[in-house]
Amino acid sequence: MEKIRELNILIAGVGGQGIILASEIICRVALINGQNATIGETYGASQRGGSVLSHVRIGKDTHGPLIPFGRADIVLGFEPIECARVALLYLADGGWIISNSSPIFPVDVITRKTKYPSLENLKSLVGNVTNNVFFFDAVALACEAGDVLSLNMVMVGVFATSHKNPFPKEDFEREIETLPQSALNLHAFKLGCDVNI
Amino acid sequence: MKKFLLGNEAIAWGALRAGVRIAASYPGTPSTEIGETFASLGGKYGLYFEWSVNEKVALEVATGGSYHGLRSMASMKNLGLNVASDVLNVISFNGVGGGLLIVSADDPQAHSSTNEQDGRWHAIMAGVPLIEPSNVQEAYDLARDAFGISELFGVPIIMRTVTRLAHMHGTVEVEEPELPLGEGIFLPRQSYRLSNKIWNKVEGKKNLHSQLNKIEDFFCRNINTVEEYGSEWGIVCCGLTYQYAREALKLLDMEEKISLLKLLTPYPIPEQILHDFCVSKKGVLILEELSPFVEIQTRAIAGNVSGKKDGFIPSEGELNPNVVADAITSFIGRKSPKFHVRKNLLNDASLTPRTLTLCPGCAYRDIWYVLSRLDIPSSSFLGDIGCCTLLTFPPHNLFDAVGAMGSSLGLACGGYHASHNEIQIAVIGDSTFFHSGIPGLIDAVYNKARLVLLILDNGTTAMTGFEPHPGTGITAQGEKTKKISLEGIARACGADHVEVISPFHLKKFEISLRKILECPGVSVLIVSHPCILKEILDRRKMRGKAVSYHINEKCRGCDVCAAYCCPAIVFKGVKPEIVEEECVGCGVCEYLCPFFAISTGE
Repeated sequence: MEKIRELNILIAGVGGQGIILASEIICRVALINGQNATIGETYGASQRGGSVLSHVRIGKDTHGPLIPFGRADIVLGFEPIECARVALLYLADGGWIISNSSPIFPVDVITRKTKYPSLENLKSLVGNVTNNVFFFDAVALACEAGDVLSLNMVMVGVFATSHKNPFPKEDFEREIETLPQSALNLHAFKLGCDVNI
Repeated sequence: MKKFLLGNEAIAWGALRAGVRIAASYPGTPSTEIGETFASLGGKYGLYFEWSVNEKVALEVATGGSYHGLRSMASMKNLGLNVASDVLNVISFNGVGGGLLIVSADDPQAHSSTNEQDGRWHAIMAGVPLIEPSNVQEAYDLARDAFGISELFGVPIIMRTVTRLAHMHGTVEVEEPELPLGEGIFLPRQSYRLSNKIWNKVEGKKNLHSQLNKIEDFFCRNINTVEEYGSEWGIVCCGLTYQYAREALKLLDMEEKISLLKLLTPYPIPEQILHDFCVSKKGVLILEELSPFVEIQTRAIAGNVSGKKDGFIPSEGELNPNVVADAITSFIGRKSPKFHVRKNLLNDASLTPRTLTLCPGCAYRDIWYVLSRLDIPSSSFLGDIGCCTLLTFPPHNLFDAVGAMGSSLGLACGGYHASHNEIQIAVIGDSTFFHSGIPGLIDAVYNKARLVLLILDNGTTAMTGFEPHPGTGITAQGEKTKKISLEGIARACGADHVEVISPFHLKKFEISLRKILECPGVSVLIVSHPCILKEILDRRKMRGKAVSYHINEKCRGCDVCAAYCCPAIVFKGVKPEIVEEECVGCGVCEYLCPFFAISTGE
């Protein structure tokens, strides 16, 4: 495979959604295809309801862990608010947003200080940056696969099908097969691949 | 072989390759994965690794290993180096046997720390050389080589990393660590007992200074690199900022247009390299995370230096490619590329911030729920570090003050002596109590303070990822050991009243607490319940599912359950719903509901 110059994928969501593992699967596929790959991870105490942001950078012309503002080719949203927050700052003009539509409420929503925004509201907000916005219920697909925790593999599946993915789908399957509970994860991946974007 | 490693893992692999035999650490983000890698790989490669009770002990353990001729290492987070600094400032004068590496992970932006601290100043204070890698491969290479440098010059060496490097994955060329041969790499035992350096302090200092001069000379010839393009401007890039500079120059379409000095040895600073780099330039910009450590040193060498002190680089918060690109453009007098125009979009009200909170089912929430409803007329609540810090944030807002590890007790003692009428309530986690809470408790008893100490015993070091501690009965490398009793310690410290209680019986817990508040002297309430997140993860491994609760038709929308602030209870309309995926089945909401509207099953 020809050396990719630069492909920036941002994965945004909440602690416990399996974002780091999803990033690693994408990077492992990049590595077996002879590409350079790095992940810049922001987590800290994020399992306690905090945001998680993973900068996946593939290609020979990337330097360091962080994608610059406005340079992400695609944002994979695991949670709608987190997706919008990150896309506004990092997505390239006209870049792609593929996001789970099922929310995880922040503390201020739980305590009813504020309401969770509607998807239309979030879509019009990210409309300032791009019109290539696609929301779907990834949680429902993960539950269909057998466990809400397989959400991350549904998202990897959607990415693998998107035109932003330069790698063969089979490579993703091969990597997912090495994970624990591979049958569940593969099922979730395939459900993600079947999403029509 | 090539491996895809986290920065912290790369450091551990580098040390293993160098034959490290003794390693010790106290968990702290963003340094923890170094210890975790040692805990899992140590046995295979003949390494002794321990989670020490705190960072000072960790450094002492590593130093003891070094004195016996073994390559040794201590790792910790930025603030941990403060705890270890007492002994650090002594051992630099004493010299080392086997190479001694100290890794300190700074946390620009304070992602997971109480403050942004620049640990590099400890290097100047103690007279210890400091290295700082710029990527994951260098983290491996420098960790591997640091032991040899330490042995060559007879001093300990510090490696500083930052969060973005510690938590960055990249490809690393790794050599298989040599398998243990007998006792491993064994240098002559350091004759530290015979050394007169410790008695003749001025001579010891002279010796150290002469070593530092030799190290500076070594750093002038090794490790640092210059990319000279004959430009009128230059940039000195310290550690990871080298990558930001490269990315920024790419953004500005100025690659290979500005000369770069990649400085990986901030102390002792290689003066000759900096002098030669600066003298040929119109101006030089210093890029570094946190304080102007290299900048101040370089200003003493050359007159054409810019950075934080003249405002080109922000003095607070972490750097990134955009901040660096802005700094470069303003430094060379170009127009700013306006990267930040979209930032105002982030002010949109719909983007509710996501603050950290306690997990659903966390016993700490019950403690807050009861404490915050006690309605004591005059009281101070002193918090501590760990998951219990989360009670500082909304909606809990429990604490009047939080200090450093173990500070809750000392703050409570001072509060008592300042205001005898006020009730002092200190709240600390189990691991933090072992780390540095015990001296504060003894101080309270000895100096006749009156206070109530709550030790929140969840049986693990939860915030950093469930590392075992002295109260767990298990070592870092998974061996069974004596379980040190919190109750036994509290009694031995002379506390007047000690009680162990489970928090989930809210009423019983409240009664105990009210009783203990009446007690004279020092009272210790050990609130014992295992960390729920750890339980959930263990349960998942066994593929078990928790009992989950539902709201039934008896609900009147009275809001009593809402006041408990559990993330599993959400409101899409007037009445609550329980999110099945979040609910862990603790049952507290069932207890709280006055209308029996929360139940298990259908």
